Amino acid sequence: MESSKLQTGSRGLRLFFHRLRRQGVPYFGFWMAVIMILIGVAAPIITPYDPTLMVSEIKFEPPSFQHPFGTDDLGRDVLTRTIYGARISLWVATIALSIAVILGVPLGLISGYFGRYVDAAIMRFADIMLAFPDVLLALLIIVIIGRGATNVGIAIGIAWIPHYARLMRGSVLSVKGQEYVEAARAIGQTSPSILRRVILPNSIAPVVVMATMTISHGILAEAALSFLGLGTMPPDPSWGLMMNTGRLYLRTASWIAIFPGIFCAITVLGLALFGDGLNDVMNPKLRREG
Amino acid sequence: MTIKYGLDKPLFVQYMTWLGLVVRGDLGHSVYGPAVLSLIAQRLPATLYLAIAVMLVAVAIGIPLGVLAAVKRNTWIDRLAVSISMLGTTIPYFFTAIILILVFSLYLNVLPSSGYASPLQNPIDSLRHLILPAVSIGALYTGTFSRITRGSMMETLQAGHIEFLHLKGLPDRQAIFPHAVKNAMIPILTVICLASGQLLGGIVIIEQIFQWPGIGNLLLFSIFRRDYPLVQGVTLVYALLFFVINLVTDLLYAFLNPKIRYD
Amino acid sequence: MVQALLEVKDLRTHFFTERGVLKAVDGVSFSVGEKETFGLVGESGCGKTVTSLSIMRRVPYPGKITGGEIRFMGENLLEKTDLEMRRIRGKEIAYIMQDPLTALDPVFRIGMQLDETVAAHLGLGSGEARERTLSLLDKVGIPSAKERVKDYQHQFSGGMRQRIVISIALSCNPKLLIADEPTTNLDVTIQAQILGLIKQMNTEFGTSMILITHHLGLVAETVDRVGVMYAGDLVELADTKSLFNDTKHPYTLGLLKCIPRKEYRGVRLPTIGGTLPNLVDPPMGCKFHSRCPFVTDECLREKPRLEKVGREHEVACHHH
Repeated sequence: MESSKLQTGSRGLRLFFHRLRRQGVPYFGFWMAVIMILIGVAAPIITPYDPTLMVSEIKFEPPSFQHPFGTDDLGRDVLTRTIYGARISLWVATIALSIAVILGVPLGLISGYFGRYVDAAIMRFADIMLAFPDVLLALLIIVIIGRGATNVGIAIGIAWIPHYARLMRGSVLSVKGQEYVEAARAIGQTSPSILRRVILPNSIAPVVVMATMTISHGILAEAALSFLGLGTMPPDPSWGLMMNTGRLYLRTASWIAIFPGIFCAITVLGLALFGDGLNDVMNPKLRREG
Repeated sequence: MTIKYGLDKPLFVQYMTWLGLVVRGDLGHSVYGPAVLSLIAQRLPATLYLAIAVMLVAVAIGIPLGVLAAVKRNTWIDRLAVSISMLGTTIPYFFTAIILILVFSLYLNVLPSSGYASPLQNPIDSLRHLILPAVSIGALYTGTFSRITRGSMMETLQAGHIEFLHLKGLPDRQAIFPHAVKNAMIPILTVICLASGQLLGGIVIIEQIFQWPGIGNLLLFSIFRRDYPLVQGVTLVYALLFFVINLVTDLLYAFLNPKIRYD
Repeated sequence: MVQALLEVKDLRTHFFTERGVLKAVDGVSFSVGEKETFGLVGESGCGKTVTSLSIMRRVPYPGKITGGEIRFMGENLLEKTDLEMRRIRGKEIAYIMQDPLTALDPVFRIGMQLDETVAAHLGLGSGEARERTLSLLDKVGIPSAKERVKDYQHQFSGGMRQRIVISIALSCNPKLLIADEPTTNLDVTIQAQILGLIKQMNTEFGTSMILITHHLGLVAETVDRVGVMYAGDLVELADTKSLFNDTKHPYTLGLLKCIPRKEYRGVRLPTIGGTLPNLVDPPMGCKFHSRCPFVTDECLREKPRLEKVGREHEVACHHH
């Protein structure tokens, strides 16, 4: 129990960073992702042009000093659009994460806590959802609720609910059987407080790890669905959408597709590297033989 | 038209009617005319061809890579394998596709950027068309399998019964290796089956990019044209495919794990 | 004097960890003769398992054997190549692990696990190997061996599994058997059975044995000679009778007192006060001095060496 007890507050944060720093590559990944996020947030401030401003005279300009990433098929500055693309990805990821966590975690808690019929029912639903691969599930949900960046976020969020539910349920079940729960009850602690004090702190670590996966998945799915034309609607600058347009002009104006693609890849890569190392950071087990 | 399609009846009745027809093999007709079933049947082989090719490649490269990495821990081979699998799993496959098209089709002009040729009629040309789409998404799964295999092997090699084999004085290649591999395979196979399911999803995008005439492309097509009977039909086929994959996974798992088999 | 089967001389095995060099085995010497049973006793962490693994030369990372000699049938095992050691393991020196559940491979049939050992070391063909397997299983008391060879490890009870492990260990007629806590994980009722089986097999095959255990009471009935280990050192070495009737070392005395007895009914069990010393930075002098009721100045300064106090009795203590 000792090592897995999560430190909260600023002391916990400092400890977290100390451990993260020791892990070279994930630390690097963390900053990759953070930089991307910051770029997205600061988009209006740092971009030289309006992302939707179409200037037909300068269509298809290759990268130059005025337009470092070139211009696209409608004369818009690719650099600006790429940076704004980060915003959209961030938006989608946020929505997806919020929905998945806000709905999934309580479901899992309820499922694990009450057991029997409630548990069985919720888990059946989860199984059905989990039987479908992510892309298809999101696709189907989009078909039902319509397109748009926000809807992509909603679709991904819904698709991840069963994952979080499963995770929390597992946490609850593993704690339920422990002796200290009986001990706590014996001295009069009520269930909600046990839930709050024991289960929640111990579940934070795996939930955070899962969150990084949800975020990167949200970004990828937004790009994929927009690529297919089912996500972000033009003229909004989504990486996926830009890659799709760029595909048509790959021979003549490859920069339209490449730069958003690179940004997307870097973000996802950073998140993945970070997420991989996150597990080791949050649960520092004694290292076994090398 | 509403009456012709029975759309005036309540939703539940519509659904039941549809189910009834499905069981009899009649998936209805596309809004534009042709029977759904025949449309699907036409295109299913192409998707399966691509999917199987991808899986074969991923297994043939990914698993041995993972085993090698686990056996030669902490050497350059291990690090290389891990880097390769990391790259494969994180770079979005549609981006990889675009880059590959750029390099091999547009600059080098050695491979076609889209289209399909039947393997039965034109094997070499078929292969040429297969390479780019297969590699684009194959990289993802090669990376995944390599990582899983490495992890599973590493864990297995630490196990007590493997150490016992060493204490029994048995040789590495003849005894330790087969024992370790068989033990490690169980989780790996479950992942392979899960990946197959996921692959069917990602293939939709690849089919789009490369104009591959499969059911993924068909699905998108039908969605955009609001051809709901077709959408329903394709979704059903997908669901069936997943069901089969899950079933095979469960059976395979039971077969490999003696505990389940004999209980 | 007849040369002993196994002679361990001043064995040192250290673990090179992040926190420093852990001296798990710090100069241990003892010998085991032919057809003799030797008990290696001590609490958890005293180095008995590491000693046995050193003999097998399967010390896990980050451990390394840093000094001493291990003479088996006259030859120094520490000078052997990997290939030579492989031929010795399982064939000349066999090992029984603590937990039979981890020793047996869950995805292979148990018959096959025996076959492979016998085939590898004795060069038997599959038919002959299977014959030998069947007769071995019979010997250790597995009923209907012919049907049960096809079963998997989880289809047997704990005691049965250990029997199978024993049969594997003895399958190639080893000269020496090292049994590391072979009964600790079994039901109390089965423990005696298994120990009896081991003894019986040893007698039948003429095998010597090193029995590792933390339970002094166990060795009283089973072994010819005993070595008591503490924090990486061998502190007392004697034949069983002398050890129990004429105990010399304060640690051994403490251990004996801790064994639950009739007289202790209703009274708190005596314990040895204090805790194990730090093996990375052991104290000067005798490692037991902080817990010893007879401690004097000399004990704090100089580490005592094993010295003969009787015909078959050696003690590492300044007071003898």
